Amino acid sequence: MNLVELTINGKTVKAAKGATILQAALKNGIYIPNLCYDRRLSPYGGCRMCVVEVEGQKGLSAACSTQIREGMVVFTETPVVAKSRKAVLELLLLHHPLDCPVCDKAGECKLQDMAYKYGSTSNRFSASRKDEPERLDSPVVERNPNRCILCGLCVRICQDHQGVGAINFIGRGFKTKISPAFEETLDCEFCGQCIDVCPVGALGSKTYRFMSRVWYMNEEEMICPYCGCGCTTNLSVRQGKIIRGRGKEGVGINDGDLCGKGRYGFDYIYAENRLKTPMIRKEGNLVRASWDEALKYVAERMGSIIEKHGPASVGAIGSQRCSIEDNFMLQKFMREAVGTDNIDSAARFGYAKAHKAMEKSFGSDFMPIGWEAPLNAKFLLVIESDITSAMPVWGLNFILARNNGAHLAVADSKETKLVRNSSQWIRLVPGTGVALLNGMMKVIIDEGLYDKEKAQGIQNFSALESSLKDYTPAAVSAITGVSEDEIRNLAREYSSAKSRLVAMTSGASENIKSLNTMLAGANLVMLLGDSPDTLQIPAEFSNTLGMWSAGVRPAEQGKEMQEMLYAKDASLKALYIMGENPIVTFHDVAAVENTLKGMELLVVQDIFLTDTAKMADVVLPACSWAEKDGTFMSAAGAVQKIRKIVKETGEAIPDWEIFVRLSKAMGKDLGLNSVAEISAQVSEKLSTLGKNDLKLSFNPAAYELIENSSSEFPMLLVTANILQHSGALSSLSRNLDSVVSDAYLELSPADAEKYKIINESYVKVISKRGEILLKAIISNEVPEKTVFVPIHFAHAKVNTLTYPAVNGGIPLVPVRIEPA
Amino acid sequence: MNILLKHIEYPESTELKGYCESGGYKALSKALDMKPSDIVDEVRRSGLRGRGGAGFPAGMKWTIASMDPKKPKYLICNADEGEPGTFKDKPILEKNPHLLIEGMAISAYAIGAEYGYIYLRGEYPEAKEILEKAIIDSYAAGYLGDNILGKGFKFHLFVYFGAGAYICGEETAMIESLQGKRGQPRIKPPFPVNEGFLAKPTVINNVETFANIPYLVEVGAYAYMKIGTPESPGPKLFSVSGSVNKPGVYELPMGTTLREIIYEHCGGIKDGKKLKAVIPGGVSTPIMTADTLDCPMDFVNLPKYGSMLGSGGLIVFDETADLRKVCLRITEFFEHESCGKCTPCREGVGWLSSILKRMCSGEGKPEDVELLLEISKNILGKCFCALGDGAAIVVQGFVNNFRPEMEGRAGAQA
Amino acid sequence: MIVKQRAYEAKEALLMPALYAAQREHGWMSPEAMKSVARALDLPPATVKGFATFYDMFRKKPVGKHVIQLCTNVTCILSGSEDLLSMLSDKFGIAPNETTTDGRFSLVAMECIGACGTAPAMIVNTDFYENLTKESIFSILENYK
Repeated sequence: MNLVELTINGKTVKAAKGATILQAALKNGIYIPNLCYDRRLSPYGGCRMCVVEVEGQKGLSAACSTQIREGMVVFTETPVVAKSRKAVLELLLLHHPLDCPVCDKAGECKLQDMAYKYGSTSNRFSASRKDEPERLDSPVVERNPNRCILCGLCVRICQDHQGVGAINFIGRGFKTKISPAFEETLDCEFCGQCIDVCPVGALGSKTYRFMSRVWYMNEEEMICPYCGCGCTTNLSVRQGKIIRGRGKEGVGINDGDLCGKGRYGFDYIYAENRLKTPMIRKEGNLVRASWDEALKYVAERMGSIIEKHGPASVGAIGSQRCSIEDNFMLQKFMREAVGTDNIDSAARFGYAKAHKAMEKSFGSDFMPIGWEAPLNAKFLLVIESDITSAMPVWGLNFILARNNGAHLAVADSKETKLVRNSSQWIRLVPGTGVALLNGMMKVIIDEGLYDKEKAQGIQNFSALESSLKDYTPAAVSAITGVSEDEIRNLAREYSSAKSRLVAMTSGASENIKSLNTMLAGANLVMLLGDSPDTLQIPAEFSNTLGMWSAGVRPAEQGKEMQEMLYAKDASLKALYIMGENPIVTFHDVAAVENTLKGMELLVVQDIFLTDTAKMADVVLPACSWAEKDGTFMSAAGAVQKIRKIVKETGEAIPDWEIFVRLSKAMGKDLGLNSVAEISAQVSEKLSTLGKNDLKLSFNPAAYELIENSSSEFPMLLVTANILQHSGALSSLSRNLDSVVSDAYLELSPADAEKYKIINESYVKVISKRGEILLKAIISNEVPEKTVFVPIHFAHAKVNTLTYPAVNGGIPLVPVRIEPA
Repeated sequence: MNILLKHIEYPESTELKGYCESGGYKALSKALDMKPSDIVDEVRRSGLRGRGGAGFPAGMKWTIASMDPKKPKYLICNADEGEPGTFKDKPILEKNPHLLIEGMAISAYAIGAEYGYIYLRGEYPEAKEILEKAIIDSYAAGYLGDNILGKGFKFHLFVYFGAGAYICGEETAMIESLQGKRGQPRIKPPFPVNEGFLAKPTVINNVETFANIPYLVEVGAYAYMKIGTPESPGPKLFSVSGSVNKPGVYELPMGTTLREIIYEHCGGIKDGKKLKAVIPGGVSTPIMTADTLDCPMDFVNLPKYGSMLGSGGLIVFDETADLRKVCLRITEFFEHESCGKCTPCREGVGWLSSILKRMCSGEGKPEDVELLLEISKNILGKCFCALGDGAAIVVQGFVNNFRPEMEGRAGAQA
Repeated sequence: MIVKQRAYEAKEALLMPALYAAQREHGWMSPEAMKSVARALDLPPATVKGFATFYDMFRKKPVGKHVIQLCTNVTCILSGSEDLLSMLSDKFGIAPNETTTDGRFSLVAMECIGACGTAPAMIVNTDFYENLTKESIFSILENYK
């Protein structure tokens, strides 16, 4: 990087060529007051607070929009500068209400701070204040237009950075105001980024309204408990309670960016169904018990089952939401105290597929995503994944890449947020991404566009080549609905791009991709001679990768999830479930319920009294993520600390500690008694990850539907993630629930007409496994013969309809819909 | 003096036929036989300065844009003539559209632009129809298109109709507007000549600037420079309005004195009244007193008299004019037209007009005039573009030159 | 199925002409007009509204059959346009930026319309009238039924 040397306030500093004075100053720890600058946005130059003196320059220069030059001499605080800032503040305060006593921003308001520093108290003109009503009508975001100083940060962060454009400047000049298009209730994705950038109290968090003066709160940096991004969210704690979340510049991999979950979702820990004490089933009912009693009960029952049926009759399910330490102790307990290898998790239906694809294709045992990988490619191909919903903050890098000039092609059946921000939308039939990839490879091979030297040297090349013989553009066009020309052009353009990336998500509840889709992605990468890390598949939740790496999966002969829960033979007698709610979040709930009912012992260790917990023989209360110390591993492979920032709920203790105590109750000492001791052992285990040599191999991947639509079930149900939720956990957040609180079914206007369904009426959705009721939403975003259902809401019981699949076939669900 | 308005005297000057009969499109033909860089050099040597208001040397813009390797390049004609007192481009737009088209085609050839836009103000619907017809005719006659005059030069020209925003006359705001954004000025650098329309090199010139090009190319820089003054060469259109006997658009050499314009060309002050003041170049230029009549109207001399050439739109005030009210009206105009981006302009100009309003309604305070000066000082040089500056220097001009009247002292005369 | 090429930059450049077309059809910038433009160009409604409200000539409320746009800037005021404006206000019983109850006329006080040399001046719909006098203005308006 080219560095430029300049002098600011007598101090010699260096900054990148092309930087502005403001950027150079901030980077070197010199603060220049500003109200309309944000590091993520291009300079605006409107507020005029950042003026500085530059030697040899007539008048004052705006630091935010003046580029640095070698040898430049800048003074940021001179009498002339101070006078100018004071004048600007006087102008701003002409109309800004002085309602600081009732403004939640007071104490961290930039305008207030600057007025304090430069302002005078005299008022030379009594202009009439603005008199717009406060807007409290939308969820989580409140607007107070009177306080707005028109810096435009909210408009620009929403449009340019988030890719949404929900609000804009309306009107011109002094009469300008910021609002949604028609003064309607703000209806956006509620990421709340606009609240963080607002320098005054014009935008605020409704959930934090009048909760506390800022100076009474402690702010704690925490890793967000939701998706695999591993963002740091700054949580404000007052009197032992978390009351606010926000992003902070320079903090975390997200550098201050947050989605709505990270900002508002913390309050799931205050849900009403939090467990406060252990419970034991007595005479059919779960009743309160002491820890000693509960642990003794589990130890005895478990012991007798092991004695009677052998340790292989015990199974365990780990949690992608629990810490590395918790999961490590679960598997250690199972392997060393119980002696079973039957350990698995919900990731079997999700990240395991990605892992398997990476292992088979690249010989890799550990492939975290690259946080900045999207920014390093000129052509990004996203297969049937709304990364901006599943991984919202990482998704911003896809939008940023496109804004920086990269080509973002998104193959999706639905018009998602990522599609709206793409350069090219390849609208395909849901679930046919694998066919599209195969079709591309067929064209690439036929036209000789691949890296012959590298590709032909990879194992199984000829098998790949012959497996593609049926994937001609004509055939693929018939499957995917994408035109032959488009398939050819995509293949040509992708293969000729200077740098490339294929990305997709691997959510456990998604049913439009499978192992084969991921293998096909890997095949494409290898065919073009690209590095394995140009295939980006993130691990789904906050600690999916950590749990996986801590050993929560069968190592040898242990049963995987299908065998534990869906197999006909009842070899499993006891099941220990940590932080998971299978009868809601797992597919085909009838089968799951049946298996769980057949258990001699069902132990559920959770923070909530879930539906699964209600079936348990013993329920053990655990601490939530904010009530214990530990670590999460993000999808990018970063091991990050979580800390106890609030007191535990009731008698809850950390999951790892439950295993420490339980093993002792069973007469075994696992030898680890603190987070520090566990961490030391875990990090030893983790340090070996990703160290093995890669060994590439093509794996032909066919397109097939496990179950196809029929005359009885003519539509295909696609289970989808929505931005405001993450798994089922987020639906317990009252804040997030205020944005989207219920499941729904999206269908196309044509299908609505065909099946006589009225918008917002209830419909019956029927698959061969069961039926549920959902509210119908008619949407242009959805293709025909397809219905979309978000999977986050327990009460909707969407998994009544679905079925598990871990291999190559696409597990779309044939359904029928009718008015309820 | 009859160069820019020459064709207008011919019958059917708006028609292609009339224009060609009076010598039109000869310069284009000549230009296409020259090397583009020679035309750029010729324009630079001529010292032609932009006629829109700022007076930036046109040849400099052309040189920078033509040397920028990025492609394609764009040419934009600023026909957003919106400053009160300015109507000098209107005769060209409405009566001599082909002069503009010819000037733009030559300019496009010189800088290597293939596409051009005429950003026409929304308040000129007649000009729109005339220009659009002229463009169609020019295509048919081979003066525009893929192979102009059979010489392999491609240039396509479009009219983009504005919708009433004075700020879009500012070149970066104009580019934003052309790209479908709110017409707010953006940060320079990068300058439009390097990163303008769609982030490509873009030359923006005023209608009158383009209208100078055919003549300049025909006679060459040397002959062109004989008109006007050494620092401000060439002919200039002055639009004169207010209390004169013969208001209108006059084509005169740069450097013609105020006295000559008002008393010789415009027939003196209406009804034999006394001259009180003149705004020399549109309302964003400071007002001048009656004793400055000997000031030559050009880029160099007007600043010596405390004002600027601006667009060359003169507004003449006789002894009966209420200058305080005029000052208020002008300030209200700027308040209305402020885009709202920069604090000093958005808030300050509104404050100025509030004070002037109370002064005009007899509710002023003794310290108001000083307050006007101070607010003006806080706006001047503190904004992005020249709009706020314009409001500030105009108020300063009124206060400095007509302080007793601004203070409302009865019977006061400047 | 379709393949959609997305290029917002190019689409936004169509906003101005699209809004003019919508205004011709709807008479003013009604929410419906703006929503239809947003749908047609696949732009967020806030983007369309923000653009439309920046420019004076996109009408913020419904107007009458004929729109009288009288210049009230400096030169026209010097030539008496303020008097003309109040005469029109009195005659039609409406303030500037209002519309007569019969929907025939709307009165708009305009910034400079570039007719300073022939002040005072007005534009009625798209027709230009100059050198207005107290007498001529009414006879001109007689032609607009």
